[in-house]
Amino acid sequence: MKVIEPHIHMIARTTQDYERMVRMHTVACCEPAFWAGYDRTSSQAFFDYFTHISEFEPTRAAQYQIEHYCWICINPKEADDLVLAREVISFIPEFLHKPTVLGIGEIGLNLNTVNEMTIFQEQVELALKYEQLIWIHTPHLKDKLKGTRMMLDYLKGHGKVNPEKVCFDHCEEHTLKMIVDAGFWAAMTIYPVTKNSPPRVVDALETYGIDHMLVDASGDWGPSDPGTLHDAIFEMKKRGHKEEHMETVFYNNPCYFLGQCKKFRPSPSLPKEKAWAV
Amino acid sequence: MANTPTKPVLASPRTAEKLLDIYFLDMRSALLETAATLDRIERAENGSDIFRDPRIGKLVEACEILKDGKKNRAEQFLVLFSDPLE
Ligand SMILES: [Zn+2]
Repeated sequence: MKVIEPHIHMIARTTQDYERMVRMHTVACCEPAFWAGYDRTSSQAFFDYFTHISEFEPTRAAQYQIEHYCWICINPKEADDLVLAREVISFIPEFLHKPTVLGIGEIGLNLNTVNEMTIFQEQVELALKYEQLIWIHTPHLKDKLKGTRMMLDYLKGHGKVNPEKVCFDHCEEHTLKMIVDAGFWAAMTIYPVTKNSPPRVVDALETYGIDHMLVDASGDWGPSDPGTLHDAIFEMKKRGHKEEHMETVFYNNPCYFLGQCKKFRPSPSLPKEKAWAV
Repeated sequence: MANTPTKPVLASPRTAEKLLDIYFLDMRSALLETAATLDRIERAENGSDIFRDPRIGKLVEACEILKDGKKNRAEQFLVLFSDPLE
């Protein structure tokens, strides 16, 4: 069974992770633009970072027969400085035409501040202007519920945002229903301690169904592991779920969502109406 | 709150008994780790004072969620540890 990793920061990972991923049948991975673990000192540092994830990382992945895609944005953790954020936003369009850039992301909130929300809204407008998909980072821990609600209310009230083109990531039990009910895509991140475990991800699939749902490992410079995606597949097997449903969640669904960007090449094994009929 | 659907959308192929067999030791272990960690904290200097920390209060409240018999325990747990929506 082929697997697509919808969210991983390969810039922070070793080549051994690419080796492990290809051995586990990962055919493509997507790298949203995010914080580097420290605050960057100038907008030029973002320009270099965007160049890395849109040019160098795809060549590194290609050595392992993995297609590497990315998303471009000013991330929420560095969006509180409006001057810096707007400098970065000014050159984002230069990257949007590149062959592996899928859209604007991961935009969102971190501490739910007014400035973060302003930059979130400005990047939603950018995505609409350039007809891009949107990948959303929801805040961590105690800030997640409120931050998710703030962004969801904004997007629902916007009038021009198509929920099919937007995915909320890092969803958990207390944020899934509002996102799914509003017709947006929901991604769940398997990340030790602070996000989801493989069993809780499968619980959510049993509770909300397998349509419009994605699962990612969000591997980065913190304790995390691309192999957790495959732990979730094993968890589905352990519970006796059908292989076709595993394929829907871990391969076809990423194809349905990401394939709305014509640059994304993997194609689904089934039409979605068939895959989502459980 | 408690707003998740009651019927699963992707039904579990396993029975409740089988699932309990699979997960019992994991559940036991998660609770045991919490108990042992509280003991560890208490043994350290200022151990008993630290039990007034609101974070520990939240953990004790979370145990009430396990006891009260209502569904959507994970969701209730996360809401308990969330900033209010105002
Ligand atoms: Zn990320």
